[in-house]
Amino acid sequence: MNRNRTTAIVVAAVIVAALAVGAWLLNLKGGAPPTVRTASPASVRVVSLAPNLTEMAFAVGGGGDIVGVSDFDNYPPAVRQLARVGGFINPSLEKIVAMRPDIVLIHKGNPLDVIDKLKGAGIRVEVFDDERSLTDILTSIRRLGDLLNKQAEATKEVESIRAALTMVRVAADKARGAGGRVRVYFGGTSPPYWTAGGRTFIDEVIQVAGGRNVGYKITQDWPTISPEAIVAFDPQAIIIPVKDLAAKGDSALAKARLDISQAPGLKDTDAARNGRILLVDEDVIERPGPRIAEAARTIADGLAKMFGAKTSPAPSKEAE
Amino acid sequence: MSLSRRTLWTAVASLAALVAVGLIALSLGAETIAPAKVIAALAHRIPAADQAAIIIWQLRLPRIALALFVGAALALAGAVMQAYFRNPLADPYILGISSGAALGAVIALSLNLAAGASFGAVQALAFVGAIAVMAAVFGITRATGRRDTLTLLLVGIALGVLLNSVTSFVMSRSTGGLLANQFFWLMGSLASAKWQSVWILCVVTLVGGAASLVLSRELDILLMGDEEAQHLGVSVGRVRAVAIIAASLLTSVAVAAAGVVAFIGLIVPHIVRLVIGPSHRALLPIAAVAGAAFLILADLVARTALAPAEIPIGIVTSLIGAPVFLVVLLRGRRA
Repeated sequence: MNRNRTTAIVVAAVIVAALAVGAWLLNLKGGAPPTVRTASPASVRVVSLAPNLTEMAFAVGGGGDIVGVSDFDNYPPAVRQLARVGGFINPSLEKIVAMRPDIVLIHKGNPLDVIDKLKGAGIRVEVFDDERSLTDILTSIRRLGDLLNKQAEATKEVESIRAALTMVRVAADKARGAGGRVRVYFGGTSPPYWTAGGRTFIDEVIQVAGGRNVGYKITQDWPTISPEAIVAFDPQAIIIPVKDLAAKGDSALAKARLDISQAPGLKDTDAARNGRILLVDEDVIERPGPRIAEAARTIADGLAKMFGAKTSPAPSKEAE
Repeated sequence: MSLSRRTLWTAVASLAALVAVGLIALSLGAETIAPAKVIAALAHRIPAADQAAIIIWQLRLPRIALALFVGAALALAGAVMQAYFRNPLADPYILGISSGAALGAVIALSLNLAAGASFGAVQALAFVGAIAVMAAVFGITRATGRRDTLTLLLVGIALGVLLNSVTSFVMSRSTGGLLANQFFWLMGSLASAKWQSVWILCVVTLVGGAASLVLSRELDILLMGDEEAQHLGVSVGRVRAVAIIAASLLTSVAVAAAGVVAFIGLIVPHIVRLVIGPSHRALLPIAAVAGAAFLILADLVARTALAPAEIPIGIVTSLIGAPVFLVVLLRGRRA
């Protein structure tokens, strides 16, 4: 009996000790609790150096794999809890390596030596081309689905973005009726005016929403555009990208109105005279990510509000 | 002391070039307007709300006028700085004035300040930055107890480096449209031209130009060295103070209105000096006219070469200026 008791105590002690050592070892191995590694055999640790790729990862349900993001990441709200690894040009390589990521998501625009150094550290670096068209965006979403083992979710996301864009396009076409596209100025409110060129996804989004972008003939992605060209184009609507639009609210519109009222050239356009100014969140419209359909809808709704429904199709030069 | 024939011819030629370039710049632009319509718009024979009238009166003319005064101001400032430092490599930005203006502009853009009435918030803060640097450079130099130009130069360079790094830091925290705004401002543009800023530039350029012209004989003598100048009865301290303040003010308004337009303040006075010699009485006015013509031409290229897109003017001034400069150097050698 005494012996049995002793044996039980020894066995219990060994088990406790083993658990303690095991826990200590696991803890030593990494800050992350062991459950993260074992929850799904396919789970990977991902560091994203591009806000749009982060958004895509979350959109395909792979947000849980992301362990680190760039300083510029701000969406979805869950990224606020994640560790920061620096900017695009100068991420902290030490911090990234210390996170022991399986994959680093990076853009071709990031400096080559950053990519090389990460590869040199034995990390799998997935380099994405800059997404220049809507198709590019959808392609990147699919690629992220493959990388994060979320193929089905990625397909669903791509289909839903496509469907949303189609809905916006159909509604905009209907609202426009026989009229031509609404001439749209998209860009900055003070000279030198920058805008989006004709081969950008922004140009595509404006088209989907029933507009024609002032820079549609320019092949450069982010050109500065001549005030003369703006006056000659005579935009009927001005779309201004605004950082943190939701937080700024009405003050942003008041400021845009003031700026435009003093902007050489821009103030003498049809849009400025009629106060047809639409603000869009900068990150929604300028980030080639899954919220691009939202951008198209916002612009289409804004244009519809400005020009009414199909009863009064927007007048257009092309239609004359 | 009468002007040499060569000087007279150069003066006539640069004035003719200014008029010619001005007329060409008025008739060409991103939007093609027939010459007859340009004249009709200028004569107010078409309604002011007409597109052509808006383009001519509110965009093209103020822009050409602004280019005229910015070009003249930078060339004048460069000529005076080169005499002041007795160094042909001196340019209007040598004391860090452009760095102060750049930081002011980049901060104004970052804070997303609303445009002001005449000189926009960006231009206003750029001007404040330029003046603040100017004051700091002179103040720190004075505090060192040394008044020599080398100390002034070193203080200017140190402050310029400091401010450039702060500017780069602010820009490294920016993304998207804001970064584009800052980037394009730094490379210079005359697209923000309004009549109000033209008038400000006009007044400052005329006053600064007149002040330096009054000092032209003293500037000539300064080239021989401070001691010699003192012996010849020049009150060196006062002349130097007026000259450098005039040049700094000219630079400050120019850079606030048009951003950092590169190279023009360095090469225009240089080229003119190579052609007509170093006498400031002729050099200053001719450099001003040549600088004006050169910047109008550069802006014409900037707004038409890739129309409807624009090229930052600082790139154009360097692209045209540097080869012209090299050609003049080579020809001067042969002569």
